Amino acid sequence: MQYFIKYLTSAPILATITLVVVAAFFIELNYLFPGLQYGTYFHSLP
Amino acid sequence: MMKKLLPFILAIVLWFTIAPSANADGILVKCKNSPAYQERVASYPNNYYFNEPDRAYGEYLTCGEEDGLPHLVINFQNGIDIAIAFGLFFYIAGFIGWSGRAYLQAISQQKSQEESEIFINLPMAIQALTKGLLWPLLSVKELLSGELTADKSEISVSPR
Repeated sequence: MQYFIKYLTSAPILATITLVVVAAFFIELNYLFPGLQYGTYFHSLP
Repeated sequence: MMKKLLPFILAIVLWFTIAPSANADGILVKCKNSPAYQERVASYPNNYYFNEPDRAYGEYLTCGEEDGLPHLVINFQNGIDIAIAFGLFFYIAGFIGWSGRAYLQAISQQKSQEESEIFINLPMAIQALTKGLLWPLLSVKELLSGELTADKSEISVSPR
């Protein structure tokens, strides 16, 4: 078990996990604040 | 003498030939008032990823009356929009760089430095990421205390 945990902390695995987490964060952001990427955040749409 | 003058001449020529065409008055209109833009939008698929930017562009951006394409006029208000995006980019780039640097500096104190580069030491990494969040403050502090830059004596100079 401890070898498996050590394997999980290896750089490529951690990089992949981080990438997935960041991608999930931005995808969720799009549901929470729709239209955020279209410049509608600072001027809300009519 | 001529070498120094040439860029100025070029700048003046460019200023008077290209700059007036970028002038907004009379050429650019709100996108929703441009027939060419309306025509282009009408052919887009009817879903969120097309409708939402269309609404935003139509309301806030200016388009060429004839080409119907969005053109951005650089004025103060747009400058703020650009500054916010650039500020975010700059902060995130600095965060990535600073936390990496902090982690490398932290593990360089350890016996197993090479191992910590391959198998990430999570407690130290989280500490480094926390430092990375404060990078604008830390960089000023290190610049003033001289930790950020190398001494002049450490910079090798080729013989001249």
